[in-house]
Amino acid sequence: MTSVPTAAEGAAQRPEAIDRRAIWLSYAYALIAGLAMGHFLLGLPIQLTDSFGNMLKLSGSWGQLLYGEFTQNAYLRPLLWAHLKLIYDLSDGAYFTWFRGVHVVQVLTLAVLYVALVRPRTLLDAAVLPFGLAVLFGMHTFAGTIREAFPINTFMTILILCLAAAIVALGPYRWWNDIVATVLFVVASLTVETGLLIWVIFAGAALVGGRGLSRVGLAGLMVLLAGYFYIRFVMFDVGSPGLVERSSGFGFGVLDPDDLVARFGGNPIPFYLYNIGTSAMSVLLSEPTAGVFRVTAAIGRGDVGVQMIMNLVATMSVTAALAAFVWRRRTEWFARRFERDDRLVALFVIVLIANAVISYPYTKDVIMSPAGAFFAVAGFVALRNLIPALPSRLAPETAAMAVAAALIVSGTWAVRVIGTHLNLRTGAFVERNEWVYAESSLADEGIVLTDSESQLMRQLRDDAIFVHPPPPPLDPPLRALFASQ
Amino acid sequence: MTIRFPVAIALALLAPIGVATLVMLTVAAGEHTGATPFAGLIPRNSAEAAGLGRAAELLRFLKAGQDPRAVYSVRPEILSSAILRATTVEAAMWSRQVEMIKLLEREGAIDSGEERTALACLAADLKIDDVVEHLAPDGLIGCELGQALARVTARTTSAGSQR
Repeated sequence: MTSVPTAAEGAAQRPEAIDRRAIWLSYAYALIAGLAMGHFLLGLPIQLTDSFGNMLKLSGSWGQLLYGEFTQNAYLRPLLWAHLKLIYDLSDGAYFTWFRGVHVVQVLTLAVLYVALVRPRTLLDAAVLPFGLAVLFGMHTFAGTIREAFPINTFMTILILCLAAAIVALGPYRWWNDIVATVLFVVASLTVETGLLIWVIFAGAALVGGRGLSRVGLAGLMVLLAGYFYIRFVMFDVGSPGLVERSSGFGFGVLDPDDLVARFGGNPIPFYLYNIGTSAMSVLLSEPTAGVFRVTAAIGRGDVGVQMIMNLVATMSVTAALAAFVWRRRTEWFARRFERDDRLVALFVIVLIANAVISYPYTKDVIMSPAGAFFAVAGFVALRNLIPALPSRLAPETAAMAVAAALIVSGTWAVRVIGTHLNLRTGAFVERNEWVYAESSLADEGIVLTDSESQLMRQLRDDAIFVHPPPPPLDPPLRALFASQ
Repeated sequence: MTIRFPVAIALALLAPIGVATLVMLTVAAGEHTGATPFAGLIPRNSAEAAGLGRAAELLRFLKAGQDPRAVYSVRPEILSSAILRATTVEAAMWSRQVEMIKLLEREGAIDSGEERTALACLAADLKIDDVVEHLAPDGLIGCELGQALARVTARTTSAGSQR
């Protein structure tokens, strides 16, 4: 049976009664949405860019691979390579099946974990859940977790680990939670730098009343965090990325490493602050993206596209819902009386700040994908609390306008989700074309492959062109709306 | 029956996304069963693949045995409504990609004699400078403006009159 709280009870007072139909419907929808995306993911071949070079590296021994990762400069990502190497070895040459299959399983896992974290309980929750998943899959920060692979997308791995960490941190205490937390932190932090967010999630959840971990478990994570910095900066002297590592968005354009050094070489602090600020803004407003104020520039030029406006409307509407939720709950927040939904929203704020800080060296949308995922979690939570608190009856004109506004907001996210799928289909053609010209491109660059390297290239090329041919191109009505999603 | 306002808002949030999911599912299910809902242009032969700039599909047609020098029917929306019959290398000009020409060259579809000159003339008629430069690095010899394009167009006209 469904029980909906009245407005007087206030937001975040979740109903006691759980409608099991809502739970089943929510998981079923998440799996269906994940499977639809999985179908489009399987249209992508293993990429030439970013994947072929990595796969050559994977053909070496485990020892060489891991030793090299602990002793390189700027990045400490040994488990990223261990993860890739494991799948590479397991695949026994069936690279497409394994690497693309893992990506699909990751998307399904993420969708299921999202539902497990937000815990839909009523049919109204179940009705709003597709909106939450649309925010998850439609965010610009999410696109990089599916459009690319190396040949596994490690950012997607981190997303999964982050949601799993939040489930453990906010759930009831069980003796094995501390062990799970330790494993999650070690795997994530040694996979890619944003994995440090696992510590933030456990610490942040504890700060807002999450009791999933014991004090010993939290202390253990603290020691592990200190150990990470010791290993990175003292033991192996890996350091952190400097200005010369890669290009980064700044203002209305992208600066190359040389430009960055010329402009900020003397004092990079303003650049780092810019990156932190714009990374957070990117999640809350969809502007700037990757550090570049594209919409603002378009407004200046007087050529703002419909897609740009839709992106802003979509993201800002969720941000507005979050703000409304926090405002309604301000008394409880000041008194530190957090319900589970308060904790989820607060956790989003904490992850957003920490994720933005981790992004200090350079801006890239996908680096903010954990904050983007928690934005989707918090957005759903805010809506499921705000909607039941709305008045039951309104004047017909007011009600019609409000429903129209909800349709528009939902429509913008629908467009973004379709855009995510179409982007994968476009990628299916782009990646295959790259494989067609792979050998000539390498020859033009004067790169000579060994026999075994050539053999791998031919196999991946044949896989992409002949064994797994491109799926049909899509040309849906209103194609222009999705063009830049 | 009246719908409570909160329920109406929840349904309004659900509807567009539900439709979007349904569309994506239809595409996925359709493609698994051999249908192609919302599909754009799918090339039917190597000339169409070349004209659309779809290099991977072009290679698939060539591997399946299609002759790059043979004349194929091409739908009007691919090259031009005036050109409905073309060889693969001719059609490749309309992709305006020098890489596509080089690919056909590597596949043995362009020899070094008269055929190459004729293609360079066609590229000149279509004002594709990088292709002209690639096919005739020493400059165009024996091209009369518009003649190569007229020759390709004439093939369509003659096929039409024969019908």
